[in-house]
Amino acid sequence: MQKLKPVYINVAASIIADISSGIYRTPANALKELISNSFDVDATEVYINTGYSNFDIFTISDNGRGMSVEDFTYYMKHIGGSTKRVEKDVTDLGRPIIGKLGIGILAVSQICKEFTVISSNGDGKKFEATIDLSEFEEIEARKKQLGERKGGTVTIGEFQPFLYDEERGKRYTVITLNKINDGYRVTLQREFNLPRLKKRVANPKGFLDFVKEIATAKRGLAQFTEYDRLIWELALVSPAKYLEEGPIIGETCIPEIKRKLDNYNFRVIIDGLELRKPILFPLDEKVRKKGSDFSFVPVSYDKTVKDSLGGSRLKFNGYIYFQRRAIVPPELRGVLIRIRNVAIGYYDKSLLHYPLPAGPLANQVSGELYVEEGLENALNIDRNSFRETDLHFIAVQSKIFEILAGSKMEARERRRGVSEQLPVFDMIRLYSRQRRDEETRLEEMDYVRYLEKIVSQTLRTTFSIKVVNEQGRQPVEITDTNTITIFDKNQLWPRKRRERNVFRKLLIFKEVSEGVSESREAARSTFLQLLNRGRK
Amino acid sequence: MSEIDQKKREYFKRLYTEDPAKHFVRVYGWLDTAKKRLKEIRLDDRRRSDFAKYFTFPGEYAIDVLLLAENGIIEKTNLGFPGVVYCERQPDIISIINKKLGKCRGVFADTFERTVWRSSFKSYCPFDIINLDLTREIFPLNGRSESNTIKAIEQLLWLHKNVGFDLYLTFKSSLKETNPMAVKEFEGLVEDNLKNNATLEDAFVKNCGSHVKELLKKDFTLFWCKSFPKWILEIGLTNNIAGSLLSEYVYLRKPRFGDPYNIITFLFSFERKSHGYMSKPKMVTKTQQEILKTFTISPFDVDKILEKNSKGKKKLADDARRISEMPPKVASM
Repeated sequence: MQKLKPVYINVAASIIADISSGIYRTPANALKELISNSFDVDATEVYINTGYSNFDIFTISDNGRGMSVEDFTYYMKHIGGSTKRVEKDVTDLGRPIIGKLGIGILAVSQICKEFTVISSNGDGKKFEATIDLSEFEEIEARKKQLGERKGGTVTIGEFQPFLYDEERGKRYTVITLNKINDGYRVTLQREFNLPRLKKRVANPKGFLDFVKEIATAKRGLAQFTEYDRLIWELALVSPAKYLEEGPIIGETCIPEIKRKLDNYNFRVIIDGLELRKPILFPLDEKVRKKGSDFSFVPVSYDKTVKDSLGGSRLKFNGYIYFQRRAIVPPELRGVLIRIRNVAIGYYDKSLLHYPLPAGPLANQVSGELYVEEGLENALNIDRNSFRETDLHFIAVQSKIFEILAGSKMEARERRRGVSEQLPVFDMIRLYSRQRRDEETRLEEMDYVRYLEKIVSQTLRTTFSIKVVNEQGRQPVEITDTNTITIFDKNQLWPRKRRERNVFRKLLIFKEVSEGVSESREAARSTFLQLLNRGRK
Repeated sequence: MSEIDQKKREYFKRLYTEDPAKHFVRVYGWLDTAKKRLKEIRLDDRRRSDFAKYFTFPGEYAIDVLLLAENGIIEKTNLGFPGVVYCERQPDIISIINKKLGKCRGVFADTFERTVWRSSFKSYCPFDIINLDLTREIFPLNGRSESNTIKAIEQLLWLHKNVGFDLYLTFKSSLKETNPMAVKEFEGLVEDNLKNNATLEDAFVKNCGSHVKELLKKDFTLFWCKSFPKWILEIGLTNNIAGSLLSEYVYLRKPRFGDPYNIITFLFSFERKSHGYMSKPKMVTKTQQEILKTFTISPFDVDKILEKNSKGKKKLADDARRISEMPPKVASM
């Protein structure tokens, strides 16, 4: 073992205020940064263990390129000054590099008070360094440090690296998060004792099982524990593969993106469970048929967004899925933007601030956009949200609004009959209307069958009732022996279903009783008999 | 990497994964006893289909966990081992174990001596099987004479008062590396204890051939084998659990660096209360009988057993290697 000189940890002053104010809002968001780091060093496997169920220690180990102690020392001395993307844009395995600012490692400051990094880059040496973040945590110290330096860097602590021998060619990085913050631990341990709240997803057979259990819970993730939420969110935000049938069962909606993700060969395993993107539509039993229950619109955009400097390219692909019922779990409602395969925040339920009230329609839409080029300058430092005044962001918004509600020109073309293509919201309305009409028709048929039964039972002979889509001279006619025809388009029928049913019942009973009776008295008696039987 | 370091690494890997003596104790000691414990657990109507709850220090290769799970003693699911709680101090080792075992019931990133005092540890108790595989001295040379390990074992037994469980205890027996003050104190304790009970003293002398002091000088390992179980059973008694020593195993380790030393494994069983209430005097009598028995039990000399059976030795080494090379637990799709 070789004890090396202590190293001062320096952070760019420009970003320290942002970091210290807690930029990673959920447990998954902080861990996402570590997964992204593993992705950037061409790891094919990342094992995360949360130390379930007491959450005493988190371990994250990957089989990526690893680091030398010099590399690590450099990173720690220049937090916020990453050169990853300056040197090259893709990794050796052809993955787009995610890290840009070099603050990912400090994401852990929101999880623990101390972390240890052990890494070897195959040169026959491994180093170990334990970084104490308690100083970084102290608000007063932070204020003092911020007051001391306006620009340049701020020293937030020091660490002592140790160097050991390691098998030559062995590459890995192990990060252990020790002294987990109490709040973080309690959050993960918490199981609400509330009615209608499921405890947790117990021993799923695989990730598909996990996804299905959450998707079939009406209230989605809210019904599960924070631990389940952590797994679900990590799966959503990390550059993991899709489930085999995902994102839309039986449809090839983003084949190119799926192929790319498969080629990255990046596996994230958390507590023994291999993560996949938890997106699988439709899992609702009542949403089955494409074209009447659900559908999707592929999204493709590749243009230069013009600005005062000439313009820059914006390229993204994806899909907008929609269905006639609200999407479950609710966490999948909205639009999710991924830059370099990593989700930026979560699904935006406001549909990128759609300007008109979309009402329940917004709950029936779920989309993913994979940005290949551009938009990165719109990212806020937390990598969870966008600067909404950025021209690229505005361009994305416009494209999505167009897909959702269509453009004025399209509407004009539809009116003139030039185009029949409906925007997403109109399609959802159409699906809902079609479904409603179908349901009404089925209910009416049921009612007709019921009337048929009453008439046949009362008169002890078989009567059949036929509904025709014509106006007819009369609303109801006995057209043939023992056949009653209802002319559905007749103006006499009230619009309200309930009233219409009452009208039908009375008119059919009247026609039948008059038709089969010889005297007025007999007709009256039959009518009353029919009414009596049909009372219920 | 220097050649010496490489050899050292290989030696330790062999020691844990291929040592037939160690695996002999795992298979014929731990596993056999665990099977009996599982039967005992399932006699209880409420636990008819339960598996054993297991606490261990699994080490890098977690062979004990994998072996017990393979034999249906502890539960194994797609994700991991929901009945296993373990503690390990070194973070890098934890990451290796985590990868190997997947999701367990609990992980403590601390020493055993500190873990047992933590309030969160209490919530996992009681365990059905506690495997304290210390692989070092119970009174380390650089430690205090008032061993923290001893205190931790006491606490563990206190946490299991009135419940039935098995305790497997393994430690290194090396006079050179043991705190002499602590040994002296322990020797005094045993001696004083025996002085107060003529029957026990007679039995000790009869079975060990000499008094405590002489035995300590003559055979340090035998001294532990004869005196340590008595101490454990007496602690059990103070916590209202009547224990018994099931068996003890001794084998020699010849490290490449340093002097050879012995490893001792004790297998204890403690009865659970539902077997019928035992009055304190009855419990005292039973414990005394058990202590007397411990004097008569001779430890299994594993090396001797294996010496005669080279085929079995190879089989054990192969089995240990096979288990240590099992792929990590991953539930995909």
